Amino acid sequence: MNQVVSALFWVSLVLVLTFITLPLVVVMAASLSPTAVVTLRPWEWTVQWYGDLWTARWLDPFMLSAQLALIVSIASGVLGLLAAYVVAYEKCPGHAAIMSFLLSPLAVPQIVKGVAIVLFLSSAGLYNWLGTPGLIAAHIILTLPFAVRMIATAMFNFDKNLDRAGQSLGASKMDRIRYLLLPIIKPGVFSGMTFAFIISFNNIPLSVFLVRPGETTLPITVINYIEYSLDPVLAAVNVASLLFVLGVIFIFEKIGGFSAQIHGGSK
Amino acid sequence: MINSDIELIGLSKNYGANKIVRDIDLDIPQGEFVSILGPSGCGKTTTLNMIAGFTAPTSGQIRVRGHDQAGVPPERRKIGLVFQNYALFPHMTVGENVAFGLKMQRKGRAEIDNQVEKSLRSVHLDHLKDRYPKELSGGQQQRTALARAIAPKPSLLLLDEPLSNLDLKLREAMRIELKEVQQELGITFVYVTHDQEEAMAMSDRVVVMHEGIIAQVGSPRAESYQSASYPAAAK
Ligand SMILES: Nc1ncnc2c1ncn2[C@@H]1O[C@H](COP(=O)(O)OP(=O)(O)O)[C@@H](O)[C@H]1O
Ligand SMILES: [Mg+2]
Repeated sequence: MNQVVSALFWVSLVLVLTFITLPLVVVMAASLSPTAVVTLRPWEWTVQWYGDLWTARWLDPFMLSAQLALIVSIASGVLGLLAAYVVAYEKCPGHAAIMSFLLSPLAVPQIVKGVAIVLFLSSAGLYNWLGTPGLIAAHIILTLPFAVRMIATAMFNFDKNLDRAGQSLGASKMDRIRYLLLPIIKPGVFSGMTFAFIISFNNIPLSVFLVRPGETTLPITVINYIEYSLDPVLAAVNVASLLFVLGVIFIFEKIGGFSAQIHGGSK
Repeated sequence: MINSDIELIGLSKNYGANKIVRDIDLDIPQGEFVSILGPSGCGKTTTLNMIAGFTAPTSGQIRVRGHDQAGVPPERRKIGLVFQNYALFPHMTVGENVAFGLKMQRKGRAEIDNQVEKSLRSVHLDHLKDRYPKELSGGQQQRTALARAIAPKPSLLLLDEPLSNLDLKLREAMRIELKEVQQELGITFVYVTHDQEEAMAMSDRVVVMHEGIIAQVGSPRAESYQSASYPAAAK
């Protein structure tokens, strides 16, 4: 009986892992395809498509997306921290209602948000906001609920007894925030920022309303490119983006140490 | 008044209609080891929280070394505190935990190191300075909490059932250690417990609390106390 359960467990584990990784494997193989038409012939391969990435056509959108995601993750992290502090730590009057309000944008489809933002900007006469400023604002609106959520959870879990212990040891409010609260919730802040970064970097439904010629994000550039051709460059873009995002997660994790939180330990 | 460390004068606390602490009067001289003994829910923690400044009294006065504490925030009372669950800072080593109070007083590096060393030695933990709290046993965590509380040299230490999470053997050993630390430092200990034996073993004086009032005050060795019935005994 036990062996059957154990066997079932291993089979499902392998299936899940295959299911998760197979698309990646296919994309990676496609990015090495020797011909312009994507073929899967593992014994013939080339890295020429990665060379094509090193051109303005792909580098410019990449730089825009990376900068956008960085600005958005920092802004969402800072704003999320401030909001979570008032709601989850100070527990201001009506904090439960404010929390629900802060999370409510999650319920609005991105397409609707995109249309709303464009309508707002044009009816307010802010035409020159279309493009990068609009992208930044829209992505912050999109990612802030995620950041607030993760940071507020970390704040809710902060043991108030630690605060009292700090107080009895003579720590002022600023000292307690600096030496106790912030270091302890840091993993939550950085996981919120990581989510904001990834969501912004991969976003299509909102960005599509706000990009302008010469100010196009990487995912939108990919979408536009697909309309004309489906060649291995796209696979190479995907693999490169994937590696980039993994690198960013790695760096955020090094600074924030959030895998410790996920795995239930610290240091 | 000169050698009174704490005076509680007509101290009361109500939560809504519930009178949790009722008109307590207590005078604790400098250097005394006082136990507040009583069953769970009788208002011991509430009383400590008022002395520490976390809870405002409904009425009455708390004086520390002659000074009325009304409106003085906890961080300026210079009262050490040891919590039941220790409340160690999980992101700091034992040494950093113990140094925290001194760091908050903006003491110099050398003085901090020296005082941390001394505090850790008095609880026999000098060899574990670089460990994190979660790498310690319950007893070691308890000692770290004690070292952290005494490092800034408070004249008064409040301990809220500090041994209740330890097993019996360790509890008995820690009683002796706590008493030794108190005598070595000569500071006032207000020790809250629901364990009669514990209170008797360590204290100069036992204050029996019952439903928010002081039912009895006495020396643990006094005949009158021995024969008195301790209400709703924990054991
Ligand atoms: N913040 C609070 N609000 C309402 N009731 C409280 C609060 N804090 C404590 N109490 C009540 O006061 C009583 C005494 O609590 P406590 O002082 O913690 O007792 P002890 O430490 O002796 O076990 C309990 O009945 C508890 O429910
Ligand atoms: Mg209690």
